[in-house]
Amino acid sequence: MDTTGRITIEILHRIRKGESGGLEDFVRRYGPKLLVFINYKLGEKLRGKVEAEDVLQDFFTSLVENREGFLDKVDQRGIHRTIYRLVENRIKDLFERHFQTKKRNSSLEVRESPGARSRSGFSLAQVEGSTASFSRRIEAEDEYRSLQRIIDRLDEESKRLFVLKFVEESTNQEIAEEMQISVSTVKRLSADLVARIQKARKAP
Amino acid sequence: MELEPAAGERKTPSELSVLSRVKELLGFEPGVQLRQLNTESAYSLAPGEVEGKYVIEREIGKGGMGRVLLAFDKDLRRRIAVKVILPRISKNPEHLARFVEEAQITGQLEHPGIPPVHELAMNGAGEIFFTMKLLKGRTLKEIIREIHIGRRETRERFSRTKLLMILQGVCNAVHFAHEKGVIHRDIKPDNIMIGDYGEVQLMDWGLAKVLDLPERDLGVEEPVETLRADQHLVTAHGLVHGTLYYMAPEQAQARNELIDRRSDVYALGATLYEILTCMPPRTGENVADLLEECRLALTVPPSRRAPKLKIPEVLEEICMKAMEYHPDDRYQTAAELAEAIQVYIDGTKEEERKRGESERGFAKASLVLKAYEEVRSDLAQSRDRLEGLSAASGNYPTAEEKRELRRLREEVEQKETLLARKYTEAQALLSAALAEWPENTRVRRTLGELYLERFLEADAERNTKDAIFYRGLIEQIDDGHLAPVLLGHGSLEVRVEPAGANLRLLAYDERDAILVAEREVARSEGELQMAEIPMGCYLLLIEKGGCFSTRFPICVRRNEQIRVDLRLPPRARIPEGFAWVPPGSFQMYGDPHVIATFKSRRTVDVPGFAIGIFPVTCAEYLDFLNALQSSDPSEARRRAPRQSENAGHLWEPADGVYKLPQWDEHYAWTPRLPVFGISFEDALAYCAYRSARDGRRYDLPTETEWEKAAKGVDGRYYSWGNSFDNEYCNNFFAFRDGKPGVVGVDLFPQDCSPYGVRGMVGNVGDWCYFDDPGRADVAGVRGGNWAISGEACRLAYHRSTSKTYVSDRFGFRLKLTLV
Repeated sequence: MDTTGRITIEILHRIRKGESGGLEDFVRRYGPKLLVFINYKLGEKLRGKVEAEDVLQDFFTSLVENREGFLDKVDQRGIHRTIYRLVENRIKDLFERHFQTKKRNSSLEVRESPGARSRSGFSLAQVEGSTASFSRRIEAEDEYRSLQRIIDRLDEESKRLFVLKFVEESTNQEIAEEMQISVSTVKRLSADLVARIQKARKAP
Repeated sequence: MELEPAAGERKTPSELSVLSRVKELLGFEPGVQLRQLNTESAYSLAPGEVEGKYVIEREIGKGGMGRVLLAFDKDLRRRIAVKVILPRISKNPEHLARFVEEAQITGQLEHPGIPPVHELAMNGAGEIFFTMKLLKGRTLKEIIREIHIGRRETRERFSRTKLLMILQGVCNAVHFAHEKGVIHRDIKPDNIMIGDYGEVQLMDWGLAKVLDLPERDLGVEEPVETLRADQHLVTAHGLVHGTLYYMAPEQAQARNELIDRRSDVYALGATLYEILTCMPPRTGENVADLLEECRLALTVPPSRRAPKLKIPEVLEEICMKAMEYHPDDRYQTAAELAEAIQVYIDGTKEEERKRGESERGFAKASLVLKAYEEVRSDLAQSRDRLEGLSAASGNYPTAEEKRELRRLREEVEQKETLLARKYTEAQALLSAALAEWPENTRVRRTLGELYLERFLEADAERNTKDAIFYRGLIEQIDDGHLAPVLLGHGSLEVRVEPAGANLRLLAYDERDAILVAEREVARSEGELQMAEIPMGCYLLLIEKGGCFSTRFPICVRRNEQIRVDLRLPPRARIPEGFAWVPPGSFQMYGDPHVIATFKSRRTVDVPGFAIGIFPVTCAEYLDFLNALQSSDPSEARRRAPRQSENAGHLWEPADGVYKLPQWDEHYAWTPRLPVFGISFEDALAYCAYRSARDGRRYDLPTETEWEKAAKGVDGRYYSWGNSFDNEYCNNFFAFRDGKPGVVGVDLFPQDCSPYGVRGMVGNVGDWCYFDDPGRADVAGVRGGNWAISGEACRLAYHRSTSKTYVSDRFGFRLKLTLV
């Protein structure tokens, strides 16, 4: 297993054991990127109707509530990918619910947290049990805003690669499989993406 | 891990005191408070002071945590460096631990690429310091900066390959540290020292971290162990350590748990980036921008950042792979990166060998090309001599002239052979040099130009097969340099006076072997400007009230820039039945099929003149004879058409008046038949008669004028185009069922030149002034006639004969000089 996965599993074990700081580390590690990921996945249709922060809050809450069985959900693609897929499933649930389909909680048995639903605004540090310090909260918020600012300036085609590479932090091989292109094409597209990001960042 | 030596081992007093002191300070052992450290601003380790065996000489560096002092070791009589922690820094247990750790790590990493630490000690004032090898030289950063500003000495000494080898040395040292469980975390050009004798050392292990056991990929090396392993000290999370310009994204994101040997690989890649571009990989203008760039590893590829430096693709790939965002996508070890660089260097060596071979080949080819040019110049001279003598000796050279002509012909042949050999030799050498190193632009272009020479020759001689062959060779090797020559577009600028003339530019197209100017390319008034015009032949029609309606043929040769300034003659200046041949140059001779006379192609500038559209007819000549008859009947008889110089008169006066004879078995006499059976001198007499009668200056054309009037400027072989057709002119085979003979001038409308002059190819040849003014005894006859066919009718065909010679194949036409 790669280092990233090993460390995430260590954190999840700490969460399972109820160790202090476990959830904080998890939020620090995944919070900003998951928020950008959720924003991206919500898309235009849902973005005005559902708060990304609420989705994230739901996920974190469900993670804590399902901490005993969460690690069992890790599939062969590894913990890192599993987390993103679970969040994606959560968004699909929301989508279906919002558009009045009957399927609910298709892949993640998470009970709804009424409290989370009522919250609005940035909630990375508001997870129950979190002991994130103020400076860490600011740092995470900075990272989220930085990523979101960049992704907002990209065209749809670039957004997908951006999310895969910098948000989900997939390797080139994983991106190639996901996008069904060669690794060398991923590298070329990544170089183009970086050029576009740099251009967008420097634009007024 | 045990900080204290194993039982039974002897501790040195300094070791005991330093370690226990530090542990006490850090709170591992009770009894010592931080305040007991010397935290005053004054240093006891200062220049001029003596600390044990060390005499402190001066401060040579200062960083965030400590100072570096130059000291003299009295025992070993050598200079060393002493690194001492700043008193204010030593108040912080984390910093103090890191300082000690730096000494321990550096001391345990015994590798030629890592500066050796001699001693960790504490002085009486409680200052902790360690001594290490004194490094003399320059940092990689300084070297790159000097290369960037163009310091020649540094550029010569530190080639790109040399810098890559330096980086390889660093990779090896870093890999060694990784194997011992240590990551540096601050690899950058400033921390790479290149000694005066080429030794490479990676300095400043102040941010180095000993990886926790599970984080390590244990190598065969014995791991480095430090204070920190007591686990009382944990590296703070969420703090960014290192230098932003070279930092891995996980480091910039303060995800310390993710930092491992691949973070150092990233920094090595960033250092490679600076070696390649002379610039650090980040471009942000403030800390926030830089941090954002670092967090996402937003790296502009080296070749885009420094396009002028011609960074090899392979090196760029190596650099970008080392700097990938995801650690799994990078080289997994520094050794892998070093190996990739080695593969490139090996390839470069092979490439350098090939480059050398290629350059040597080019040098040899250059010598051959020089000889080739000399031979070509000699050949041109020999050809000139041969042509001169050939023209001077005429049809009946003397025996001595014949000998000289033969010698000259042999000489020309020998030089042609030698030239061909030199060409082939140069071509073979250049081809081999290009195959050796295809990037050799000089070779590529020289070879291209060599082929181009042949292509242009073939093109000019209308040798289509050779032209296609050489064009193909050029296209195979050309880097775009010769593409415009192959495409051949030229430009055209026309200005006509008087102003306001209507200009129509028509392109010639071949139709049934006849060049027909019908396709309009441009239309304008007064002047015409075309910055780009395809190669080819055009006819410019110029109309202006009161002026002669002019036909101006234009031939745009390869990349030719044509400028025409034309003044139209008034209509009245040119009599009925005459065509105007405007001034300008044309290509004379140059028909490869005309081999009977040794005439090479030449460009001749010809002033404007008018020429009879038709040859002088029998009716016109009758007028002349009758005018002569009234004043001098014997002179009239002398000038009358005849079969030979003085006999066989074809026309006899009846009742003192010359009339056309009746049709006979030889000639179908009509008034519109061209006059024939008259000599060059008779023709001149007619010119004098017409000049006196009409008040104009008529004359016979020179051969040059005749040829221009016949073919225009596009070098065509016949008046209508380039292919012979029996039915287009009066030649021996013109009539399938009829008998060959002279016919009326109005027949065969296809036998018409671009200026509208008729009957230049067939019917009767035209008397002209012989080209060589030195031969006053002969005259030229140009154009084919009814008694010959094919090759002999070609416009470039040239004959010379006696001025008194008469033939029923020769007539003449008038030329009018416009003053």
